[in-house]
Amino acid sequence: MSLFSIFVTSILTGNIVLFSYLGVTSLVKSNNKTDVLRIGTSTLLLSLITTVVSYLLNTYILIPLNIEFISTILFVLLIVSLVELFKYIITKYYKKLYSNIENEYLLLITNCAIFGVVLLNINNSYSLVESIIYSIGSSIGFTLLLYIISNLKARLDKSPIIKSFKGLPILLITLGIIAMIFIRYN
Amino acid sequence: MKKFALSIENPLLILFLVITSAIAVSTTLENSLVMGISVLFIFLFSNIVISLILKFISDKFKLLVHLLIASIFVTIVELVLKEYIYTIYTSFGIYLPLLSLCCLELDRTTSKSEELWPIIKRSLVLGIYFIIVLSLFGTIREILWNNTITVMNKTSSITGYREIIKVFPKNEVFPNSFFATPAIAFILLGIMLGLYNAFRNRGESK
Repeated sequence: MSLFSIFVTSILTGNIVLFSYLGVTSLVKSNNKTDVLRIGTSTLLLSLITTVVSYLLNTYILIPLNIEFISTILFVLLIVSLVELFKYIITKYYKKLYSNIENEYLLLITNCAIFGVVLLNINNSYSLVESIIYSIGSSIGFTLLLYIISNLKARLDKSPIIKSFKGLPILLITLGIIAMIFIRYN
Repeated sequence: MKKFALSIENPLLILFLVITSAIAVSTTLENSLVMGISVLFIFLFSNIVISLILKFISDKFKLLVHLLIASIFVTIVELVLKEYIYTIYTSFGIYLPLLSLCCLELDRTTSKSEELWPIIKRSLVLGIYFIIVLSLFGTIREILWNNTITVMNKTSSITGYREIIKVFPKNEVFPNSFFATPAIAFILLGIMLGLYNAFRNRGESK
């Protein structure tokens, strides 16, 4: 597949939230006060670094030594350590920009989006350039959807809905309808 | 069995906490059952090991240790499935390793009690509710897109028993590949949660 088609597919028709179910929990926790740009750029940087390091680890250590079964443990360790490193650098040098990194720190780890992108790269056996493009595109897709949902939540809370469907159920139904818009028929 | 009474307010919400792995996999009843049993195994044993170790670890490393223990048990489940039921392992794909991160979310619903037996009881109850709810979800989803209920198809390499039930015999609507898409999964989960809320609140006055 060409690089451009991978990029466009990862944003629109193969969006990781709508079609691979990754990162829905962090979407639901957002409200219209969350700084979408900040979470988006953090996810972009982290997923970029993580895909490069995981690709190198996979190609040059895991496959030649034939120990692919250990990949889960290794990637979890990698992601947690990279997020810790990111948090340390931010709190030391850029404290003004990221005033409450502690709240969003857990959002980044339990997001499953970064880990999911790493696993999808291995599953589709992308080369290094293809996996970089895919991680950039999927982060942009995630940010797009975060922006849509965080603006929609306030409006959904105010509109007249049956009491039992308020909150989470109507949000999931809306997410499904958005997924139907982005769909691609085979 | 009064001890195992309903101590969780909303069992369907459990499904949402592990949504990534659970919903993605539950296209058939059999997949849901295998995923539910795996989640029960992982959640129970990682909670037991964590509760025994957690006193000796400083605060900075608690999250890391929790995730590592969960991923060790996920690797055990992965290797067992890969050896004995390879078709289910390939259909699970990326969603089995993602359980190591998702079980952290599930753990937030548990109360922080120190003794071992309440933790075992809580994990068992949560896991069994998860299996029941996920099987219900998988059945409805499978009837919608494939018009069958697969009780045991792929695990027949172990048990040698194959059972696929066809639900509506002559039908032109139901075997429809549109209903297998993730959009219908989200909508179905939202409807199920809303109906459960309505059922639970039906006695309360406005």
